[in-house]
Amino acid sequence: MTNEQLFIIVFNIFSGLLGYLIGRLNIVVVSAEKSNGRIKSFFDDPPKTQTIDIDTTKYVANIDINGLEKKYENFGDIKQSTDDISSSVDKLKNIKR
Amino acid sequence: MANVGLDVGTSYIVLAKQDSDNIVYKDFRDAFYIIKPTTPVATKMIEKGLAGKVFIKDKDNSFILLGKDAIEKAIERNDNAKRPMYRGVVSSKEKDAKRILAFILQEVVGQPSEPNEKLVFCVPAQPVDQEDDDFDVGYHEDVITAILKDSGYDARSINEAEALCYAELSDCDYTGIGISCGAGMTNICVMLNGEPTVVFSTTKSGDWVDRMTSVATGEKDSVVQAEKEGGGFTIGQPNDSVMLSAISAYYERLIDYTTKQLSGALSNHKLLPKFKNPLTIVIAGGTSQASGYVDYFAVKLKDNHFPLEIKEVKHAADPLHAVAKGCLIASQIL
Repeated sequence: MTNEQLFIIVFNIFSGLLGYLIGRLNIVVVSAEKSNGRIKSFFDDPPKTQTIDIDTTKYVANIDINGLEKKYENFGDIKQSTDDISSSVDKLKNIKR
Repeated sequence: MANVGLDVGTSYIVLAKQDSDNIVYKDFRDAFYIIKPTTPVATKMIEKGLAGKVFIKDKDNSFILLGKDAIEKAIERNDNAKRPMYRGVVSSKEKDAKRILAFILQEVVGQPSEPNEKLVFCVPAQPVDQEDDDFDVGYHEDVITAILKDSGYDARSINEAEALCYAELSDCDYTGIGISCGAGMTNICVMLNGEPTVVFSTTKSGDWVDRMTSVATGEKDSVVQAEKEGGGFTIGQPNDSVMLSAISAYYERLIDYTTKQLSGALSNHKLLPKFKNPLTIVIAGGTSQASGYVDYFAVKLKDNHFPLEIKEVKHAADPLHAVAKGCLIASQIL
């Protein structure tokens, strides 16, 4: 085996190893970014940093309900509950503070 | 403080409003059925026959029955009632869906008690068992917000299972798991001290039981749904009726599927907190009202190796209204 052939073999092994290491590094960085994600709570303030994003949801077709003639007196069943939510609201407010 | 909570479900629309120390709920079945008369004489006869039912007359003289009357009429005609929503969002299958849903929502919520009264409505989470990108809650959310804004409300959305946690986990310092078993989807929220840490949904629930039973027995979905809601069966126990037996069997499969999805999704989840104490799991929603549902769910959680320690699996005090109550609580915090 000539020196030239030896150099080509060593060079190929080195290139392969370098490619593998760069690939692994990229996976680790992406996973770390993903794991930092947190579910947005209903009560969270809107983010302070402005991000530029394409909002694909802002088209809402005009919904026309004119021309629908009502033919009933009562709509839906009413039920009254003695449930008091004030303590739940206070407790939740304290937690969220 | 007035404010309103609204559960926009696939099967029921439920409004919750505070009235002094009480909560007033208004329920409306999320269904419609269209009758198109062929002659002017038929129009008059049909209108006469529908007296006392909840229906509207369209510009083209067709009649649109709404709510439970729609389901009853569909069964009477050996047909299926239609739904303005499918799997938790505005149905793309029905061309009249948005229009009918807008009408029902505006009738249920009525006029706000003050301009821009705050209203919180629920939306489902992204499913874990749907591999394609067909499901998106964004458009649904915008449609509902636009409808409610037209009625004069300042509307905001909340995750369905998060709302359930606010309604039912007060005694556990808002730490635990809420599972809302609706008609179209099952929504799950893992909460730690009032913060939702993991939310997701699965796309099989009560409607799936109806569909599969319908396939197995050859009956219409509406008929199966009516039988199912009539009770007379307990999940996990044998039944003499062919249909009830099939319903019970598919309920068992549904619970097995849901608990497997739940265990799979939470095992080694990166965002799952390290809980110090065993957790309370609260179950609500119309589908959970079947006899034996919660007990069977608890058994299957163990069988399917649920990764967290469980203190108890309990049924919400008022399973059909719990999500609307949670929305109302959230609206009071805004």
